[in-house]
Amino acid sequence: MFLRSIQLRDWKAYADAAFEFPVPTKNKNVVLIGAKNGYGKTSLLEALILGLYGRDGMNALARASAGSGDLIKSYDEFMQRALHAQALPQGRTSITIQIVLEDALERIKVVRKWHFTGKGVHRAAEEEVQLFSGKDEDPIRVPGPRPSREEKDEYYRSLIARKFIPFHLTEFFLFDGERVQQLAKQQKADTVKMGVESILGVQLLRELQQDLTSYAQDRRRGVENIEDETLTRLNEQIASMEAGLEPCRTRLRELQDEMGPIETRIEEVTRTLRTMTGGNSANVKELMEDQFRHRRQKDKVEERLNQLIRSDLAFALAGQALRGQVQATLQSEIKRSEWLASKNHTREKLDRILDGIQAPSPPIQPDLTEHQVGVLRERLSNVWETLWHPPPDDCASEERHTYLTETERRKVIDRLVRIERLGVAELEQMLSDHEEATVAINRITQQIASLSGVEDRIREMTDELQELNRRLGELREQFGSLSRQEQADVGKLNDLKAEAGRMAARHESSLPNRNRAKKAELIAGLISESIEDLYPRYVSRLSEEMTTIYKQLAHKTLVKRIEIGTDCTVKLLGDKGHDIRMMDSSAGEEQIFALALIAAIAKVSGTKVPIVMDTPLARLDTDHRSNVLKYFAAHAGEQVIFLSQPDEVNGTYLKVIQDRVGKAFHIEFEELDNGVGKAHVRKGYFQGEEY
Amino acid sequence: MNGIPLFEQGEARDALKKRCRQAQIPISLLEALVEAEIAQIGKERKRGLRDRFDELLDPDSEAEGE
Repeated sequence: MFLRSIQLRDWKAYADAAFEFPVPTKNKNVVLIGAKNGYGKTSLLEALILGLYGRDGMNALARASAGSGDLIKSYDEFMQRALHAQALPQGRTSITIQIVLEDALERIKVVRKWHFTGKGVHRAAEEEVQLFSGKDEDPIRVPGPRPSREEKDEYYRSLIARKFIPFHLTEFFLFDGERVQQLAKQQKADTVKMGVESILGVQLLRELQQDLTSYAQDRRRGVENIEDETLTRLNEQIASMEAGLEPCRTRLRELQDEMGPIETRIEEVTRTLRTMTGGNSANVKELMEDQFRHRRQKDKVEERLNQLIRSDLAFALAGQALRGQVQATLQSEIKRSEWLASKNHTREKLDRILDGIQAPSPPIQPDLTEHQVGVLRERLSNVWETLWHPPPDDCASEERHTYLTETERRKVIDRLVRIERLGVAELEQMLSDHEEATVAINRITQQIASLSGVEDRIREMTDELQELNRRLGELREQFGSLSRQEQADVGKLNDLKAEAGRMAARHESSLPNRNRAKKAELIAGLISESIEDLYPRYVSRLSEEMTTIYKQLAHKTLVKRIEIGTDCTVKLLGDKGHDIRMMDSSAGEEQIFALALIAAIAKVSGTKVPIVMDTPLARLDTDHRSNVLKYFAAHAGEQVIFLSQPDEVNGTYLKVIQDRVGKAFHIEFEELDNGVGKAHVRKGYFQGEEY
Repeated sequence: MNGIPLFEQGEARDALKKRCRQAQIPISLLEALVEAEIAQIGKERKRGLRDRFDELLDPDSEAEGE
């Protein structure tokens, strides 16, 4: 799109001014605006940037007009100073900028209005922006019901960026001479890097990358880290436990199948016995059960007796006298062992006492002879020996059971004591119980037989019934044991299933956030890789474009090729391939490099928008000025607006672009009282040329 | 798309499309994320950006489905 008009109301020196620009054609695409220093050229550039982007334009403004100290101030302060000096005294409390953008298919009007208090304080919250479309200027509605002011601003900002100049490229299309000089002063590599990053929109993409990474971290935080593998492992454990239960359940079914016929047979035998005993089967059954109980009692007693025979009977049969003698001997041997241990312990102390005889202090006059010392040591040893004699009364005179340790002696004594406690009474009681059980079993057998009078048959059946009951008892015991095992396993399985269920639910609920985080990280990585991938391609294209443009701008023909490395280092190569940047270059030549970069960026970006250059020719010599004007007028954009000082684009230079100028303005300045003034827009250039 | 050549111009767009295909990310999703980021320019704090990311990165979102 190109600029069709810009209208300023109470903006800086412009109380009320309008610039109408012609539709650019292939041969007439230049607009020339002349003004002396301080008459409003830079104000016009600022109006364009802030009119389009509002507060967001401040960053672009700071870069595009690098030379103006005003621009680093806050937005509010900047706006307060932008209000025309006569506005407040004359009762006007707002600034309005209207910009019309057009192309063959579309017309968009941007109206931005800033409001102030009666004392000139900026009412930031009341800033208005409205976009209109078409010749009828229909308001462009922001989608959605009742959009907020913020949503409205966002929508318009995005629309302007899309339709006109992408925000990150503003400084390469709307700029002043100071910006060019600033670029010229930078290291070449930095300048080129900044250019490539601008084309790619790298700054924004890196911000997006960082925001996505930070978003991913945020979404992962607070989400339970249940990995798919954990859940799978748990489910596998459940499946394994269920599989492990199957043999147990199969065995339980087999036991039930086995018990069923036995129970049936028991009922049949019981019924037959009832018939045989005249319906007194209840008694037979009870007797059978009673007999079974006595048998178990008898078995228990026999088992206990067997145990006694195996372990303690031999000792018991040895007699109390012998056992007592062995106990006493062992006890006396323990005493002897303790007596000897104590004696040996004091023996070490005796040695220290004997050594004390030869101690130097206190002195003995005259010194003891060696013989005397020997006699003293022997006497003391003898005295010590007498302390341990005779041994205690209950101490053995010798150790008979030398194969036993002290602990083993004590164990043997304990065992013998236990045998002492096994009284005859207890043994008699066991024998008595055994006898009683045997008698009861025989008695019950006779009772059962006598009940029917068909003793043999009943005995057979009774035996069968007993066998059946025994077998059923065994099976029930197995069944009970397996059932308890199964129930325990099922309990564990249910706990595991519940845990798996809870984990699956938590896993399910955290899935969306984890998926988002995963995707955000994936995209952040993709952005990073894409930048790395595309960077060299754009560097290469920029290198080619800069070579072409530089050759057209520079009057020296030394530079044959501009080579930019992937790290953005720059070489200006001469015809023999040597880097002529090693030689000193003038400020003007550096500026030519910067302008070539700006033009190359504009071209490589593929953006079709106007170029507005404020005092672009500062520091350039005659040839360079002509080349720059010629190139930018003819190749840089479909519409080029030069804001020029009187001695900048004039005479010879004017002639260079004269044929391409579609329209020209010059700004006159009317000085008012108190050092303030008013800018007036007049048609025609300084010398009154009409275009 | 807001002058990000990465998403607009032939060669760059083709390269990006290829990468997106490999990563199984719809290019429309990437474009929507860039739009969301652009909408934050000039703001002191990136209010609402995370909510917008939530919407866009949701498996059922429109950008995702394109």
